[in-house]
Amino acid sequence: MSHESPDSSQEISVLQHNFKLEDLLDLESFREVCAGYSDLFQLGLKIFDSSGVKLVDIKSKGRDLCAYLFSFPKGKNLCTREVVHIRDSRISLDGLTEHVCFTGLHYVLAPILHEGVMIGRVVFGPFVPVGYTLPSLPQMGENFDSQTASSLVERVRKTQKQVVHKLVRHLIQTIEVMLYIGYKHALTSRMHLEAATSSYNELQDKNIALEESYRRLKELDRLKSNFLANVSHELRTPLTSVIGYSEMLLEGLAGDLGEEQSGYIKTIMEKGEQLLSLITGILDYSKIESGNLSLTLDWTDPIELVKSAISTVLPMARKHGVRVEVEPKDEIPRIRVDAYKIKQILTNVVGNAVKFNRKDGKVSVRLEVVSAPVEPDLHQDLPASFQRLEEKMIMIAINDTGVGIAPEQQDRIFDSFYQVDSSSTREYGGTGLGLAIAKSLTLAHGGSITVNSNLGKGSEFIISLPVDRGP
Amino acid sequence: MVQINLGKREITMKLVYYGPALSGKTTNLQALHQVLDPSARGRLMVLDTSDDRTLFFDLMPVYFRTRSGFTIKVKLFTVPGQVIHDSTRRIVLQGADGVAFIADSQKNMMKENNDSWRDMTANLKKNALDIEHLPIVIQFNKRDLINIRSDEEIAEVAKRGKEPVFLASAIKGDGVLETLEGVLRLSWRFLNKKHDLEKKLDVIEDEIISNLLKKVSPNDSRAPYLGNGDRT
Amino acid sequence: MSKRILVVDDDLDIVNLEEKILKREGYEVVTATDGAQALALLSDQDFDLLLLDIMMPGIDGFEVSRTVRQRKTNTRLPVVFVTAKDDAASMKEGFRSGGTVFLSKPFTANQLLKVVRSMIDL
Repeated sequence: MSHESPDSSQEISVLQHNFKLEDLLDLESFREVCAGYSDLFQLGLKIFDSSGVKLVDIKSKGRDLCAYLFSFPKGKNLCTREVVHIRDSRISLDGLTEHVCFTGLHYVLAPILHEGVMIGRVVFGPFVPVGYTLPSLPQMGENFDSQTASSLVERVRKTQKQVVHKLVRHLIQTIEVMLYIGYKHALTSRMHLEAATSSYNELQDKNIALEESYRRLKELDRLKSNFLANVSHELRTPLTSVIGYSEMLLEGLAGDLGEEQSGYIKTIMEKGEQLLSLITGILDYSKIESGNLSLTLDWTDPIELVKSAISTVLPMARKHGVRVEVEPKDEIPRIRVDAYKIKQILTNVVGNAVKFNRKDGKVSVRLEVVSAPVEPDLHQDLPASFQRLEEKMIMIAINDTGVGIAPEQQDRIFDSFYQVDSSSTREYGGTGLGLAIAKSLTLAHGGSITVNSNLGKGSEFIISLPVDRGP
Repeated sequence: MVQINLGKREITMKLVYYGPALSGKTTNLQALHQVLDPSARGRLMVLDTSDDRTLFFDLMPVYFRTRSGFTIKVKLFTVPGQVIHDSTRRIVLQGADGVAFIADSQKNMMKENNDSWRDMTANLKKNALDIEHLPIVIQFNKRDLINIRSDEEIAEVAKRGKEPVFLASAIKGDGVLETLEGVLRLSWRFLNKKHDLEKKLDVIEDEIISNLLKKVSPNDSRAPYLGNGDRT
Repeated sequence: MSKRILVVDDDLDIVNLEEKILKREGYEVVTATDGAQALALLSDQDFDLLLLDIMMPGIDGFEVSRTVRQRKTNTRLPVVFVTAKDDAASMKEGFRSGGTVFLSKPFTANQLLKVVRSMIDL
């Protein structure tokens, strides 16, 4: 499976990411903090990231001098060199670095560290340390007015060096706290995203694998159905001759038969037919199991279906000396069902009632119209409150006077291949599929089949079918 | 995977504390945070919910600058132990240069230890990490509790495995430095062999260890070192 | 004049069975054991009914039926598929190829005769 194999194109996690200063700071609020510092101490402040991009630039009055000098070509050259120096020069990572500009003005530079690595630098200044005498300014050019320059120098803040150092250290601490918060925030949010993405990808892979195995199962199921259809075909072809020729012999087409001979042939024919119903049962059941069962619904008279089922089992009933009666209690409406399938159910259940009856017993089939409460179907596209509370059902109750079924066995009789007593297969015949098929078919009609039984007294099978199960 | 930036003179290694839920991974980092010199370590970042367990992960960097001017940074991570945080665990484990597996010494936690170990090997595989050669040490934590596997028993099992085994009581701060030193040495040797770092950086293993594990105040309560496998 | 029926099946026992049942009722029966043979007979002679197996080696029942339907002379010949292959898909294919009725194998003599009468004595 693909999610098991390491993915070489895997994206590098945020945990391996090397953050830049601007990734970790909210620049706008950071600039406000810097402006506050600068304003409080009347000092200019620049902040660069590790690649020299200027993130913060707050000017003080001291910079007026710089601006004046910058307006002369020579001053511009000198100033630019100073800017490049404070931006790019190597500075101590363990403390503060001082820089004195060509005018004699002072700056203090400090590294911004993240996990021991420099990701930016702070530049404070210019200022004039108390007690420090400025060298006289060099001549800048023709229109240079040293009077003006001197008055601008006066505007530069004069302060103790130690004060500036303290201030820088304090700002660095503040920045580190902001970095920590920013880093934590970046990791948390991006890890959430990565974890979610990773879980999603894993689910995707699992889905693909599931889809694949579902596709294979469906293919297997198709093969199974094909196989069953073919086997059934292969088995039924020779049975045609077994049953057909037996029938011909019985009818005397190959000459008269003695009693013993025709007895044997009858056995061959009966067993052939039993084999046929077994094959048909298995095929039916496999169709239901694989969901390939399709119903052909038509409005049908349920009494007709019951009568037709009874007529099918009548020869057997006569043989067993069992009486079969129908008693419709109400006016029975027509129901929309697959008539062939319902007849199959009824034939099976009524057939059992005859087969498992006592000699000279009785089977009665009762029909009733009942209203059954409807369980809310939450899977429907309609809210439960829109669904009907009850629905009209036809109840067909088949009572016998036979051996009955023990309570602990009543649940299992609808399981496939289950017969109350394995010897009953021999005694009564059948595949053990009849009731399982009957149950599947009633369920497919939206109905139900249940049993009540008293050991020794008889059983009652109740088949309920909705009048119209809908599409 | 180690990040080597010779231009910027930076080396970044990644060590991961793995193990079952509540085995004391975060406690290990907290103890280290307390005992290490603040100049050699960053803040301990605990990314979690309001729950008392590590639902997310923890991170603490330790670093120092060599005489030759290289910054050697080691990021220590813990993974969330809870089973459901598998994807976070996998992401955290991605690119690890070494693993300290924090096992719970309590007898009734052996299954959790085993499950977590199997989970780790599965996640190493998914991250394309070489289980055969990745440096791993094992710490049996919670030696201060009762109903734990005895020292003798652990010494016995330690001899059978190739991973070095350490005893610890992280909550008391015992054995955590030794565990870190163990995994750090193994990982450094492994990387050095592969990238010839000591030559390139002009640094030796002992300089790294003594600088990264610089303590605030001397602490001599050393946990016994129980076994050394065939990794050198 | 008695009605002529062509019985086609690759299983000789079944061909004989159908022949016996039908002859007893006075029908004239001609038999074939594969599709090619059946088509040859159909182009030479006139029949009132075709009883056709589906699964046969070479030309199968569907193809025989389709070919018959395409020939101008045989367009009205009723085709009864006598087959164990009576699943929904086969029945659909059978009707599409021009069949009129399906008779499932195994069948009883009565069932066969009922179908034959309903097709011929209309």
